[in-house]
This record gives sequence, C-alpha cells and structure tokens, in this order.
Amino acid sequence: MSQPTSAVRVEEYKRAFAATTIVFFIIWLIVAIGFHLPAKSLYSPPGSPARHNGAPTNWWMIQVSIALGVILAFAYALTINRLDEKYGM
Amino acid sequence: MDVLAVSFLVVAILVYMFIAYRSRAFTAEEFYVAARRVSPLRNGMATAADWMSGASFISMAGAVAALGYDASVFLIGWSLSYVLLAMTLAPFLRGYGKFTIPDFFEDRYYSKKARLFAVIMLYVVSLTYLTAQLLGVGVVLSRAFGVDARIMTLVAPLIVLLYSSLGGMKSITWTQVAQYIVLISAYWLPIVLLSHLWHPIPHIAYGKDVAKTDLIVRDLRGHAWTEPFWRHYADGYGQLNWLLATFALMLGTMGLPHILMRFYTVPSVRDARLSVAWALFFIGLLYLTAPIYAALAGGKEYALQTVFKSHIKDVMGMKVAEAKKYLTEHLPEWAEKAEADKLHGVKVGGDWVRKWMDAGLIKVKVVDKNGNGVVDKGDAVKLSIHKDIAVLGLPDMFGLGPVVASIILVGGISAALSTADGLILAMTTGATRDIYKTFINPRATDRQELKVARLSMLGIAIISGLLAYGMAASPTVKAYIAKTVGWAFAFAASTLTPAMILGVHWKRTTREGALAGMVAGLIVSVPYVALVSLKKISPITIGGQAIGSIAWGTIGFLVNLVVTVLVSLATAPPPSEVQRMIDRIKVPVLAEQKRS
Repeated sequence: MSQPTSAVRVEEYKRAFAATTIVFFIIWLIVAIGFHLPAKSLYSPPGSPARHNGAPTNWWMIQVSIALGVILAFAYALTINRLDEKYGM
Repeated sequence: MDVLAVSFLVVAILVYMFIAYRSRAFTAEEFYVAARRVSPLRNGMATAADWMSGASFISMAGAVAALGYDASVFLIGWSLSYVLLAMTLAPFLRGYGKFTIPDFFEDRYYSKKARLFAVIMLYVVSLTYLTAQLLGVGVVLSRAFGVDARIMTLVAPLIVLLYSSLGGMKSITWTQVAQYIVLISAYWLPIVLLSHLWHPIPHIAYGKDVAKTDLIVRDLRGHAWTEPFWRHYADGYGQLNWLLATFALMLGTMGLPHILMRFYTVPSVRDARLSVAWALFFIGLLYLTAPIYAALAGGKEYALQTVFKSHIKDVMGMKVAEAKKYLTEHLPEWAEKAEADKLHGVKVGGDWVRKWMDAGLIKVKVVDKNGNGVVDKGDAVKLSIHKDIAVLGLPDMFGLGPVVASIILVGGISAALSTADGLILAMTTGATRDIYKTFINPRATDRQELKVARLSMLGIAIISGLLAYGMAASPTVKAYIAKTVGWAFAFAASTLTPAMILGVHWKRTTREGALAGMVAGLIVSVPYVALVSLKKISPITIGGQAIGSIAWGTIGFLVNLVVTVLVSLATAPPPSEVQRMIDRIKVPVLAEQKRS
C-alpha cells in the first residue's frame, strides 16, 4: 500500500481485474464444460485402440477437468493477488 | 457391537471435543468469524470438510458406480463450482467483511425484508441438509453399536453440540481441519492398500478396472459403463439434462450460506482467493479418488447383478415369497462360485454379499405384476444394491479386513459431523444476528449475544434431531426428506445465487428487483422440482431429452436473473451509499480502509 489510491488508479485496477477475470472465466468454461460437450465422440467402445489404459477419453476427461480446475483456482488467485499488489490495492 | 469400530469412533469424537475445547471462543467476533484469523490453507481444509458431507463420502462413489459416466454431473458440478466462487463471490464477501450472509442481503438490498428472506432460505436449505447428515450419522452409529438407528439419530446432534456449542466458528474451524484429515486419510487408505493399484498414481492405474466394469455392464445392459448419456437420473436424461444439471449444481453450491460464510474468516481479500483454491485442492483429493471406488465396486456390483440375472429362470413358476427366499438364500454362494473368467476377470466373492444382505443393503425384490401369486415372465425380479456399499463395503469386497472397514466408518462419521457443524453454526448465526439482534434486541451486549447463540444452537440441534428421528422412524418421511436434500441445490440456485452474484457485480440491482427475482425463482422452481421428483407430473422434454429436477435449477436461476434485471431497470436505482459500498468491496484497499 505504498502508492496513494487515486481514482484513476482504481479505475485502471478495475479494468485489469475485469479483463483477467474474463480470460480465466473463458478458460474455466472450456475446462469445466467444453471438455465434456463432445463426450459422445470422445467415447470409444471397450477394446478399442482409442482407449488409454483401459478407459475411454471421455472418462479420463472427468479427472482431467477436476485436476485442471485445482490448478486454475490457484493460477487465478495468484494472478489477481499479484495484480492487487501491482496496483497497490 | 463392533468393538473395533466403536473404539475408533469414541477416540475420534473425544479428539474432536478436546480440539474444540482448546479453541473455544470468548468473544462474539471469535464465535462468528473465528476473529478473522484463519489462514487460507486452514480455511481451505475446513471448507472442504464443511462441503463434503456424509453423502459425498459414503454415497457419491456409489452413485458413480451405478451411473458410470453420467454421474460426472456430480463430480464436475460439485468441484469446479469453486473456481466460479473464487471469481464471482468469495473475495468480495471478504471485502464486505461482516458476519453472515443475511447481513449482506440487508445492506446490499437496503431492506430488512431481504434479510428475512435470506434467513428463511438459509433455514430451508440448511435444515433439510442437516437432517440428512444426522440420519447418516445415526445409521453409521447404529451399525457400529448395534443399537436402533432411531435412538442414534437423537444421539447424533448431542455429539455435535458437545463441541460446537462451546466455541462457535473458532472451534468449528479447528475441528473441521481435524475431521478433514481423518476423512481424507480414511478415503485414501483402501486405495493405497490395494496391491494391484500399486503405481505412483493409482488414479491412472485403475484404468484396467474401468475396462472390466465396462464389459460387464455392456453384457448386462447393452451399453458400456463409460458410455455417455444413456441413463435416467434425477428424473431426466440426455446431454442437455447433463449440461443443465451440472450448471445447477455449480450455481447451487455458490448459494449455500454455510459455505459462503467460511470466507469471512480469513484475514484478507487475497487470502479469500487463495483459500478457495486450497478448498478445491482438498475437495479434489476426494473427488479424484471417487472414480476409483466407483470402478472397483461397480465391477463387483454389476458382476453380482449378472450372477443374479442368470438365476432368475430358476424361480419361474415358484410362489412369490418362496422365490424371494430362494434367491436371497443362495445368492452369496452363487456369487462365491461365480467364475472370474466368465465375468471379464472380476471375482465377485460371497462374503461381502452375505454381510450386506444381512444388513439389508442388498435386497431381492420380486414384484408380482399380474397378481397371480406366482413368478412368471412379466414379473419384475430385481436385485437392489444400495449405493453406500461402494465405499462402506469396499474393504470387504477386496478382503482388506475389519480394521480398514472400521476406519472407513470413522471417516464417514467425520464427514457427516463436519458438515453438520457448519450447518448448525450457519443456522445459529441466522437466529442470533439476523433475528435476535436485528429484530428483537439490537442493543444486545456480547455476553447476551453469546448466550442467545448457545441457546439457539441447542434449539436447532433438538429440532433437527427430532426431524432425523422422524426420518429414521418413517420410510415416508425419509423419502420426502431425501428428496428435499436434492432440491436444496435447485432452490439455492434459483433464489440466493442470482441475488448474490448480481448484488456484487451489478450496482443497478435494486431491492425490488432482487426480491421479485427471488420470488420468481421460487415460483418457477418449487412446483416443478417437487411435482417431477414425486412423479406427479412427467418432466418437460426438449428434443427427446428430459429436463430433470436437478437440471431445473438452472432454469430457475435464469428466470430469476431475467426478472431481477427487468424489475431493477423499472425501479429507482439503489441509494448512493449502497452503490458506494459495491464500489468499495471491489477494491481490497478501500474495503479494508472502511472497516478499520
């Protein structure tokens, strides 16, 4: 909190905050929903070579989604927290 | 009485009580928000324990075992919602920095009516949820102690009271941390012990179990286990239903007061963001493991169904009661003898089948459809396998022994207790701050407030204990309450969530708009959700896909959103101090200046 919080600075911060959040929101939408929309085409029947380690891609996507969600949550928190510091907010 | 399980349980509960006693609250600030000194990691753990109920621990993997891919609704909806929470609500609530969720409603919507509405919704959502937790604790306790479940449902709230009445949020935070550690260790233990999964990451190694379960289910049902969108669940089916239901669970999560209030307890806005990330990390540890349980137990369960199905022809022509008795008596030995070669390498085993049949969780059902008293072609001969077996029964299925089985029980109890703690506290703060201090005695001293808080905690525990007793005593009551738990998400999504999100992000949202939106959300969601899940009307179908009762929450959310926006635009803008407050909570520095 070294810099004074002028109105201009606050507006800049809000704009940068909104832009970052929208980018993260879009990535979230892809990870949370987008990965599962093509579930039917990602599915492959038992024994198919398109399977990985026994399970079809649509199945693995469930776990991939959750794991990426955790990473995304940390990435978002760290990015915005850095933004806060950069603008002295 | 299961001596091993009982001694583990007693030790665990004593430890929780000791922790709660050591960290009890002395001031109102400590009681409501743990003096806002909870570190992000600790709050993340406590939030995860608060969030993951007995149902997440005991039943969710079972739902995945039964539904295969289609149960991804729960896995995804109940975890990825947290990223959304970090982006839209949690840090701003911390910026706002008061004590309860209804506090926010009154300030933001400049009306006591908004507070009252929020308190009522908080009670509706939390009480149904709490009743289910207590029933869960009661059922597990009754199994361990060999005492009637009805009595144990009355004991359950007393256990929670023993520690939560002492110290409010401060002690609950510490006990939830301990409960999280217990529940996650218990959940991971069997998976780590299963030698065929010995691999740096068992979450990848279990793929071959998925393949086996896939083949068994395909032989039995014509569709593989991992094949998407062919099953009915929560009264709906199809991909559109999947999408709407996933959104509804996410939006519902964001409107649960007992979760939201945890973000008041961290020291700063930045810590609030980090603590959501930690919460999702700790939730992820369980949610990533649930599919392993599902694949392992699902394989055994569907293999048992296959064995059962092959013997249905044996009972054709028998009297109904005789057929039921014959199938029940012989199923364990058929399961024991079933050859793994014919079941894609899955060895069913008979001991667990016998154990859970005795416990009443695996049941033979014979419905004489034409009423002639004899089993013939048109009649339904079914084996029902309770979804709790996937987790509670896994140690038996794989011969891991009674110690592991007892540890799983303790994990289940810890999960249910930690959620019950949070719910009781949310309702207590609702009664004390939002009713007593706002409407009855605004000048209450700290001492008076704490006294009222402890008294209302007692009242809430007694009421919910009685409700849980009613649930254990009457199957009809139980069926209704079990349904209402599922509804809680739809109701939260169509009432509180839009008012929270718009309240934080759109300054122009007015009191009239928010109230009209919440009422509209309720009107749209309650009748549909209730009538559809009680089978009074059939669900709406769009392009051959039925919109089920969970999925409807998204419709309620959207209706609420539209009504709130339209009514807000038609009414006078909120007072300037409310608009300034919204500006302030968006900027951490300003939010903190204002408070200090």
